[in-house]
Amino acid sequence: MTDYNYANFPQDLEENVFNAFRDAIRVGGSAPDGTLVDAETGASVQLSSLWKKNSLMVEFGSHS
Amino acid sequence: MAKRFAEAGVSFLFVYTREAHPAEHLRHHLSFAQKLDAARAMVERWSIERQMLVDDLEGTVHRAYGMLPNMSFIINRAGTVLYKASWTDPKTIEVALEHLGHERELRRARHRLSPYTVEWMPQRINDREPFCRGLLEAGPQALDEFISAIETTHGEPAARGMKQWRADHQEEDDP
Repeated sequence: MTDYNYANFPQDLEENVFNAFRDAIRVGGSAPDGTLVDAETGASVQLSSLWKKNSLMVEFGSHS
Repeated sequence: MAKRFAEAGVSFLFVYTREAHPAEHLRHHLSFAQKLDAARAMVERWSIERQMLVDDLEGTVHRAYGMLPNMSFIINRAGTVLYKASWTDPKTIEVALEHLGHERELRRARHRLSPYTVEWMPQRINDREPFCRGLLEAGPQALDEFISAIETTHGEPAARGMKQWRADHQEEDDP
């Protein structure tokens, strides 16, 4: 298991991740594609298949 | 907002990531099955009507987009990123989507349009009470570790307010 699913909140507040966000994705650039799973149906969904149908407003998050 | 802009051809999605503040009541993900269950529980808990999509266990899509805990994006049908925000705030999203609607009207009126970029640093509500309550809902570990991280990174004075909140709510660790 990598550090991605940490069991303990990072003590550095992940400030390096916040600082890197500015350059992580460019407005005006291409959105990264990827495969996700629909929580309701369990089916795999390609992100690009969704934006080809409609513009997308995408929020990333979790319970906490 | 999702329903309002759906008519304008915008689909609202939620991508479920790792737990930002794992704790006693909300464990970090050890399997995809656990993550999928947690995403479904989140849909129930918050009555989420948007399409909920779950990232893989390693957070591949989350990483590709910048790995922040609650970022948001608007992507057009050509796959171009039109808007990105380090935190999700409905007000700025609404402003951006209203402008997209305005652009559609301009195109219908046969205006020639050119893209430009805006850099903007709005303020969002970040009241201590709901934030601390949210952490406590995950478990006391979440609150303790966040306070510790604030103290480690920014010093004791920065953590004082949250420490006081924790002391004032000592008996409420099991919502």
